[in-house]
Amino acid sequence: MTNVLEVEDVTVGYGKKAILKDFKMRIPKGRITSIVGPNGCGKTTLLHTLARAMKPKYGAVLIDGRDIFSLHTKDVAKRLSLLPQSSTAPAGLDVYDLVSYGRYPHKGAFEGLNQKDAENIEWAMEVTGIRSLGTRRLSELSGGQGQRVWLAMALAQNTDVILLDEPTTYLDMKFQMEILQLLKDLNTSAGKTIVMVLHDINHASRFSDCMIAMQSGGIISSGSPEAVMTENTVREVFDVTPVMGRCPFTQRPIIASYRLKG
Amino acid sequence: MRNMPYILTVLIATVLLAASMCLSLTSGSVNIPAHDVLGAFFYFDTYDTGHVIIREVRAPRMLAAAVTGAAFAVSGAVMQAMTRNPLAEPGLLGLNAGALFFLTIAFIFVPGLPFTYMILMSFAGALFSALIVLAAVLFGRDGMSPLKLILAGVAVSLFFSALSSAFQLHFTIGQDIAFWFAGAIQNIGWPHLAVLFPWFVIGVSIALLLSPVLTAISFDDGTAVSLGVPLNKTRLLALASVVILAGLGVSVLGAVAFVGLIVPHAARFFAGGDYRRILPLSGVLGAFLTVSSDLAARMLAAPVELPVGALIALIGVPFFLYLARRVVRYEL
Repeated sequence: MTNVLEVEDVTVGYGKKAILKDFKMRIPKGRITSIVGPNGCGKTTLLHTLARAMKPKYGAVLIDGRDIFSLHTKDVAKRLSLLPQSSTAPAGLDVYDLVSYGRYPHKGAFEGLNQKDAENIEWAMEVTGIRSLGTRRLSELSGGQGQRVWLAMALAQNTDVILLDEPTTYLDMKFQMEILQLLKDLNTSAGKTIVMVLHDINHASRFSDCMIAMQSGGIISSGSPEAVMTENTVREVFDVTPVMGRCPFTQRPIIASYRLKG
Repeated sequence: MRNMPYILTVLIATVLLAASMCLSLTSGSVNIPAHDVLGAFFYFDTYDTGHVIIREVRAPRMLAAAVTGAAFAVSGAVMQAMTRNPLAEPGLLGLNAGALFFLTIAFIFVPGLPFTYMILMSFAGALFSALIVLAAVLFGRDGMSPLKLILAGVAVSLFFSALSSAFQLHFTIGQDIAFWFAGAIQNIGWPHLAVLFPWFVIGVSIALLLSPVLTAISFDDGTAVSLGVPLNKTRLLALASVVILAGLGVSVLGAVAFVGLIVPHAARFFAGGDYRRILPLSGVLGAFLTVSSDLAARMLAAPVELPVGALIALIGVPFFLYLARRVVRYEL
């Protein structure tokens, strides 16, 4: 199995404070990897480091074997996209314009959108269910609609690797499932590598090939959902006592319920 | 198809600008008929007072108003993109205060300095304060964030304003300075324009070349990086264009923050949120606002001239309040 992203002994943080220290990790190509862990464990820092939005103090992130900072940033952007947890847009941009900025890395500075760009944009708006919102402004949309617009922008970028920071957070149950199913379909049909931080550990188990459980800036357990989703790991990572069960659809381990430790 | 309404808006704005420029040549304390205006350019007669007024007074003044208005408006739009703050304007970088401080120094230590040098002093002051702000931001940790830029700018701005006030009070030159700023545009001639114009072209070119990146950088950092925007390099170039444009604007018009603040909003209102569309429209609208304000300043109380800055504020404030009511429709 080849690795598309490799984290080599990375130390990264804000100012003098290191969030991740001598961190090592591999992201397998063509798989769905989910990162889970409690608030403040460094999940987002890890994702941002993978996306070169944060620069490691020591160590390096390799994309297809090359230091991500040694490549031209626009070339990286053709291979890897990031959907941050919350995004902001300049005032007055409408939904179509916003999604079309997903094509930015593929264009020269003043090159107009061509047929291929338009197809990408329309496809991204179609699969995220925002086709009818093209002329609306972001400020007029609900949180869930807004989240779909940002996802559409990341998809319009049409990269082999897609990093997502809690893509289901603002969404209602049905659309959470639609997004996860969409990502799964993109993975199976187009071989996209998906890396996501997920708050819902059961979703992570159900939709991922690999899971990474983090705590206080370190990896507690990683591997297949079967290997990671154990009572002991959940207890250690989330500091709760779970009752484990099985997902009736996929037979993967899930947490049926949990209580506080003690 | 998507661009049709935009192109139409730019056309209308350009026609308005052209009309105000023509009016600005024909009207004033003396009205000069259109054929004499043409005559001044095509068969200039040194003994015709009308021709001389057009060639030596009104034309350079009108062009200076257009150039500085466009410069302020474009630099304001760039500032708003770079700081992701719709209330940003070039004055936040301490440019106005720096220019004022250098002028104050010049008035005290080299009184009677020729007009061209005064303009250069004020330009140098704007550059100087911007360099201090930049140094403060770049030597900090974690690169140049928009917030750090604004904080450093406000601090430098307050510092230079305080120094200027102290000097002006001590040497009692406050009035001279005020008169200088109010009257700078009256004394503009071709040699000054020749100094300013190349800077204008450089500043506007940088800004226009950056315009696609400016929209991308006005997303949050994560999204901008994901799209392949080099954050620091882009911010540095954007800053350079702001300093050049606002610097030349301040040296001719004085601290007219309103053009840089309002015009980009007006442009956004008509053109949407993409800076590729906002920048050119801002330039045309900025020139239009300043040229027509300058015209009004000469006409309203003729033969007495009102300060242009005051008129821009008079027109600008109500318009801005109107926009502020609508701005809740954008996400701030």
